[in-house]
Amino acid sequence: MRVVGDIGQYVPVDSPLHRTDAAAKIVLTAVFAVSLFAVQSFVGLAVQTMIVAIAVAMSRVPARIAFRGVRTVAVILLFTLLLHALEWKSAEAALVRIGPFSVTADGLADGVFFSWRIVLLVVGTSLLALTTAPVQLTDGLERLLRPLAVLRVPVHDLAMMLSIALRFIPATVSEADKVITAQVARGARIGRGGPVARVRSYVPVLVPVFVGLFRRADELAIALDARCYRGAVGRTRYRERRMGVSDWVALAAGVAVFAVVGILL
Amino acid sequence: MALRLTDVGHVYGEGTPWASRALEGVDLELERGELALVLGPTGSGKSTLMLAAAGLLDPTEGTVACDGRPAGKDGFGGLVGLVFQDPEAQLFAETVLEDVAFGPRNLGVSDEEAREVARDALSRVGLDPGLYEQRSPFALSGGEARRAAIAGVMAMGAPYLLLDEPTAGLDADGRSRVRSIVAEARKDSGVLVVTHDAEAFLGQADRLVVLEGGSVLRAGDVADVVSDSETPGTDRLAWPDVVRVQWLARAHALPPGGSELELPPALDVAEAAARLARVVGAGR
Repeated sequence: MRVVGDIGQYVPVDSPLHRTDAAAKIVLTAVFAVSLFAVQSFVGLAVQTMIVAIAVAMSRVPARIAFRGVRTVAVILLFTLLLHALEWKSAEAALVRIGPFSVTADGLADGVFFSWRIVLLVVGTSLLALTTAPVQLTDGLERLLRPLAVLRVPVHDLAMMLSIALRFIPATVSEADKVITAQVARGARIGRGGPVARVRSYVPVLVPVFVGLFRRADELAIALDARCYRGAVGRTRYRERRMGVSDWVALAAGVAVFAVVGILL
Repeated sequence: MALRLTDVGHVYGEGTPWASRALEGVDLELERGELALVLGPTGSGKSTLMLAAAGLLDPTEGTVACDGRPAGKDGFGGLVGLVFQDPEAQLFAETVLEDVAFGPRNLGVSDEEAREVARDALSRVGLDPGLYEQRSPFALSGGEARRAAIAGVMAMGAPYLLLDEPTAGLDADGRSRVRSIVAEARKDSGVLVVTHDAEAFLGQADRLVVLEGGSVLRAGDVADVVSDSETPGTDRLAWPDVVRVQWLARAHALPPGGSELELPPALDVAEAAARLARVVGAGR
C-alpha cells in the first residue's frame, strides 16, 4: 500500500537533459526562474511555455510525472487566480458580479498571468530534480559553491549533509509507508476524521518514524567514523566531473535565450 | 472459510519506466487451524505476497478473498492480523500495555476490555503483564520488543495471522519463543509464516510454498515438497541442515551397499540422527 506519495524525483531514463552536467542545469534553472519573473507580457509567457514544453519533451520524462508538481500548488494557483480576478468594489467594467465582488477583464488577465507563471516555474524547476540523480545534484552544487571555500565556508560538509539528506528521503518515505501500513493493519484510521482526530491519528506513525530516524542517523555517524571519514581533508573523487563542450554550449545558449526573453518580452 | 489468493500477480510502478514485477500467478489457500510456510530467497516476492494476503495491497492481477469477502480500503478489518518484518519498528505508545491495546481499541472495544485483551495477549507471548505492562516499549530488549509487537497483532484476535520473517535477528532464545508463539497461535487461527529460517518452522508446518522470482516453484504438503527430488535444487534457499544432510547422504548412497534413507526426510535432528544410525548400522 502506497500511502505516502512519491517524493524521490529522479526519473532514470537517458536524454540530452539527463546527460547535461548538473552544475550547468542548476545555473540554467536559476536563470530560467529570474527570466520568468522578468517577463511582463503574455507573449513572453508564451515563449517561456514553448521553452518549457520543448525541455519536457527533450527530457523524455513522462508528462504525467513532469506535471505532477502542479497538483501540489493547486491551492496556491486557485488563490492567486481569485486574488487577482476578484475586486471588492463594483468596478465599472465588471464581467460578472458575485455579491460584493466583481470580476474584471484586467483582473482576470492578471490572475491567469500570475497563475500561469507559477505553473511554468513549478514544471521548469522540477525538471532539474527529475533529470539529475541526487548524487550529481550535490556534486554540481559543491562545484558551484567551491569558490566560497576561500571564505572558510564548509562547502564539502554542506554538500555531504545535503547528499545524505537527499539519500535519506526515499528511505524515510518507505519507512513511513511501512509503519503506516503496519498501523493500518492494526486497525488505525490514519488521516481521517475531524481536524483533531486527523492530527492525533498520525502519532502512531510519527513516533516510530522519528525514533527510527534518530537511530539510523546515529548508526550512520558511527559507520562514517568507522570508515575513517574526516570531512573534505585528503578526500578524492572516484569520478571527477567537469563541464564538457556540450555543457558549455547548452549553458551559453540557455542563458542567452533566457536573457533575451527576459529583457525584451 | 479460508484466506484465498487466486492467480495473484503484482507489478510495482505499472506503466512507468521503472515498473518491476514482484509476483506472478500465485495461488494460495490458508485455512483456520493450519500453518503454512512460505520460503523463498530475498527478492522472491514474499513480502509483497504478505501485503496482498492481508488485503493491504491491491494486486494488479488476480483476487484475494477472506472467508469469501474481498478486501476493503483498510484490508480485511479484524479478520487478518499482520506482523511485519521488524515489527518492533511500529511500537509507539508510552507503555507496552497501551501499545498492545491499540489494535483492539481501533476495533471499537471498550478501554477496559482492550486492556484485558492486551494483558491476555502479553501472557500468550510470554511477557508477564505484571512485569512488562507499564514499561516503555523503547526500553525492551530486541526479543522482548518483537514479542510485544506480535502481542499487539494477536490481541486483535484475527482468525488468520500472517508473520513476515518473525525470527529475523533474534537469538536462540528469542527464536524458540517465537516458535512457541506460532505453535500456540495456530491452535485457533490460520497462520502463514514467510521466512528464510525454514528450520524454525518446518517441523510444525502443514503446508509449504516455495517462491522464486515471484512465482510458486513448489507447493503442497511439507512431506511431499521436501521429498520432491527437485526441491533441494533451489539452492538459493537455505534448507535446514537437517534436511540437507539427509539429501546429501542419499546422493552419496551412504553407506556403500546400505539401504537408502527414507523419504520424506526427517525434519527433526533427533529423528534424522536415529535414521542415519539405523542406515549406518545396516551397512556394517
